[in-house]
Amino acid sequence: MSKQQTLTAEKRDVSGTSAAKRLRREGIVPAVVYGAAQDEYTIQINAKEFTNLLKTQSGTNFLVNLEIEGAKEKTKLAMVQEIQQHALTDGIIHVDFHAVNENETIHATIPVSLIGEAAGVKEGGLLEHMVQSLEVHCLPANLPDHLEYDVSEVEVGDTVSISDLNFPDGVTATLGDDVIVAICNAARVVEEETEEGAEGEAGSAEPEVINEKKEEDSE
Amino acid sequence: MPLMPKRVKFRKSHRGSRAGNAKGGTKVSFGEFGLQCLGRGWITNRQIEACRISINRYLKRKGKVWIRIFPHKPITKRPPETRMGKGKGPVEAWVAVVRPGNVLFEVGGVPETQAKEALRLASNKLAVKCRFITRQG
Repeated sequence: MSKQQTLTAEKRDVSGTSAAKRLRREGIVPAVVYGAAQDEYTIQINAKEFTNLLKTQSGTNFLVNLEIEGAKEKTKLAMVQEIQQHALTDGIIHVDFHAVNENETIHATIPVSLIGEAAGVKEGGLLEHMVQSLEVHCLPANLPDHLEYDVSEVEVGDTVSISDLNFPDGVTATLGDDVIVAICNAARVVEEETEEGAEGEAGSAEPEVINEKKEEDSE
Repeated sequence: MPLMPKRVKFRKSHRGSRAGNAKGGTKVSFGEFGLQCLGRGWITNRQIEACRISINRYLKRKGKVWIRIFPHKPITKRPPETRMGKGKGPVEAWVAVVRPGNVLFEVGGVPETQAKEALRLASNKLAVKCRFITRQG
């Protein structure tokens, strides 16, 4: 089970692009809290504190206890719903918190990690990890940090499906049991390719133009 | 055979804009390691093919490679020593528009050192600055 972390926040009165940019320059991240049983309102959190918290988590959907200054409810249990990050610097631009009720089922995406070295890989096969994160639904108290599967006995041609994963009590996957999480394939055979050969064919074929075809049909 | 669309709505297009940073395709989504673009520009289908060949040649039969960009855009060029006018030139290449942050290639199923070298060789074929990144989360 994931531990609930505490995060301090303040109610935010300013909004808009320029105000948000000003906050980010001061090391503050604009955020929002919303949920089914409450009106949404804007908050601000410390960027450094949130980045450190993010480093301790394996996924991006995790539970936090928000301590909000200036709000009616001082403490609020929320799930990190979405984190917007800069494309290059990975700096946090905005965070969405989804206020959750302890007694209501939540949907969250948790990472699936494969541990150990597959027997098929030792024989020269390739282990493809197809489902890297999985959507589950459970009560907030049961939300796992991540799911693990030991692949050390996976041979070439074997598959790992959702039904093979060990879910904690009260946690179920949204996808069907037959969805393949990982597959161990035989090594691919790559034909010797030459750059000259590839370049020689360039520009020889032209794509079909959709509009021209229609005109010909009408004629 | 270099990448190119099978069907297009228009034979030739305008140059368009390359402003801003990438809005999507900025994270490693399929493999474990990726090559992220730091500059902006056009990457031709020949360059993509050259990168793919250099990665496959270095990795031999190991691992899996994903190409995260596709050359959707036709680029025209006038033949040499041609007078102005007489319409737009013929299509010379197909390019992918890349902006800072775009993940160009991904590699999985190989150790980090091999992936790094394979993607370094690929980045040598490109006219934009790139960096090696690993999957997060």
